[in-house]
Amino acid sequence: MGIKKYVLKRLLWFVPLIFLVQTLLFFLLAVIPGDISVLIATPNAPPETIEALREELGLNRPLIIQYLDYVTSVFRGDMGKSFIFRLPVSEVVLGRLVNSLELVTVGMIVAVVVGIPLGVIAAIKKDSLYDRSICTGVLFGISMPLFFIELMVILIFGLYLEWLPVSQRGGPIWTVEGLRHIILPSLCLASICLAMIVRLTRSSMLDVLSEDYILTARSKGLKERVVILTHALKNAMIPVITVIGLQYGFLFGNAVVTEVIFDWPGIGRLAYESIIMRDFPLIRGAVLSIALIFIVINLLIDLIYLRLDPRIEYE
Amino acid sequence: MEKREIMDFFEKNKSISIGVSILLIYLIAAIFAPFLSPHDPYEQDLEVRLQGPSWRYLFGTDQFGRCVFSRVLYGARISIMIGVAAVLFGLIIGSGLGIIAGYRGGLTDLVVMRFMDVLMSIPALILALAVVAALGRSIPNMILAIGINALPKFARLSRSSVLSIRTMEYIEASEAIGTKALDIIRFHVLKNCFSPLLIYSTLYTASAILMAAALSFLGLGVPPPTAEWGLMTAEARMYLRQAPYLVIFPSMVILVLVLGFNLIGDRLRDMLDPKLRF
Repeated sequence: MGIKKYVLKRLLWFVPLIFLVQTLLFFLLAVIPGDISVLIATPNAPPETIEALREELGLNRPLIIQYLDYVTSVFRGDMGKSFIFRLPVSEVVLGRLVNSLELVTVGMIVAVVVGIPLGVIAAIKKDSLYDRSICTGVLFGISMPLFFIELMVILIFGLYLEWLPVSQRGGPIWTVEGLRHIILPSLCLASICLAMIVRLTRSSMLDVLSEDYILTARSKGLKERVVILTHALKNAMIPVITVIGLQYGFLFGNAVVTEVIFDWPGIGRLAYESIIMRDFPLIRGAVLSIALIFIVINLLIDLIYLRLDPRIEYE
Repeated sequence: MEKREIMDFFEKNKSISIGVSILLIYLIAAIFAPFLSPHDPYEQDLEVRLQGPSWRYLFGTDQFGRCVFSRVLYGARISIMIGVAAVLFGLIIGSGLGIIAGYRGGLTDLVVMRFMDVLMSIPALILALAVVAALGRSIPNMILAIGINALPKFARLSRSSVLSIRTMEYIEASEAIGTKALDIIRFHVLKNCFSPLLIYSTLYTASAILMAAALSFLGLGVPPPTAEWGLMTAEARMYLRQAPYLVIFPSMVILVLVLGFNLIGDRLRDMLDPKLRF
């Protein structure tokens, strides 16, 4: 199968996948007990006001009609109107999505840039002091609750040393303020995924280093640097790259905690706040867009993966 | 295994010994919390609020003057229960579905595995938040919300194990002599996927405990005033500068428990199935 056909097939699969995610979300939220319109209306609102609100929000229609309306309008590009903000969901979601993507991507870049060299060092110097300390660090990294790292970072760098701001987004990342604000939250977020990348790079490097072609390369008299960097690392990267796609989803999920703690105006916090406020259209819009981003990133990663490893067939 | 062999095993596998010791300590703390805790975990005493660690209050007192050490001990019950129950849920339902999908093939396989794809397309913590929001804040709902995220992995592991032995000659022979499908699953399939499932269960318990703590931290886990580690940390957030120990103790306790499960899971993987990557 050619690459075009493969991409097309993957893209076509998006449609049923989005539909299924929508269905899951809709019926999950439909079981929420309590009357949503009572929550939105001002306290002590007369029954007529609440009734009018239900009518306005379309909550008086049968569930199945609400469902069909929701599913079809999303495919027309309309995600409905937020109960709380009284704005189109797509409008609220878009800006937040970009903010989160910024945070998560910076975190991911840090994790990759720091993680891969650490993993390589650990693998080359297997069982040395370096390797042992890196492995111990990794074990602590994957066992640490994210909120603990974040609260400690806020305490030390924000409250005691007062080096960097610990809340809000400071503007676009290319401005000084924007950069200052993103450093702490993105580093915290990076730390949890860093551990996974280090560990995977290490084990993948160890596998590759025991292969025959490494022995051949060494016996040809190539410098160790060349063997490691061009022969081993390139092949060891293949499993690491697939995991980066999955880690993106992991970071997006965990970004909820980071965004709440650092008051970062991202999509995770939006999803969280809309869940707390029971703003159904907004919950659905936020979660659906996170799922979409996640699916697209995974497709991109798979394409990079295919390019890197010509042995893999498109199926 | 004889007593001697068991001792040898633990001597050779230090990380498993450390992990098991950690788990045992936590189990003892959870089971005997009422006897071990020096104070009532829910008793408020505003006279002694926000006091640092002392001999009377080992981990200090919180904003209501409750003993943090006693609360941490009681918290072990909830975290261990949620972690283990969520994994059991994922293990039983997930691998059940995976085995059925792999065994039946065709439409069943398609439907089950596509459903797993849907679950995988929503990041774990967000799916868990949505489930708890929909069903309400309680321990069983947290178990469900966290367990659901484990379904795809367990389903895939068991399905691939079924597929890999389906065409083996001994399975064909077994079918030919009229062994029932259920017996084949019981004797051959489960045996075949035992080690990956065991390894993943151990490692996922670690993730489940972290996720439960995160849910509670976000206020979508167990309701207050329950003594739960994530919730304790969330409540302590406001006193971060004044009383950092209120954040540090419950978080460290989570860290060590999760570390225990990871130590065991990692070592099991290295021993039983070094090719696995999770």
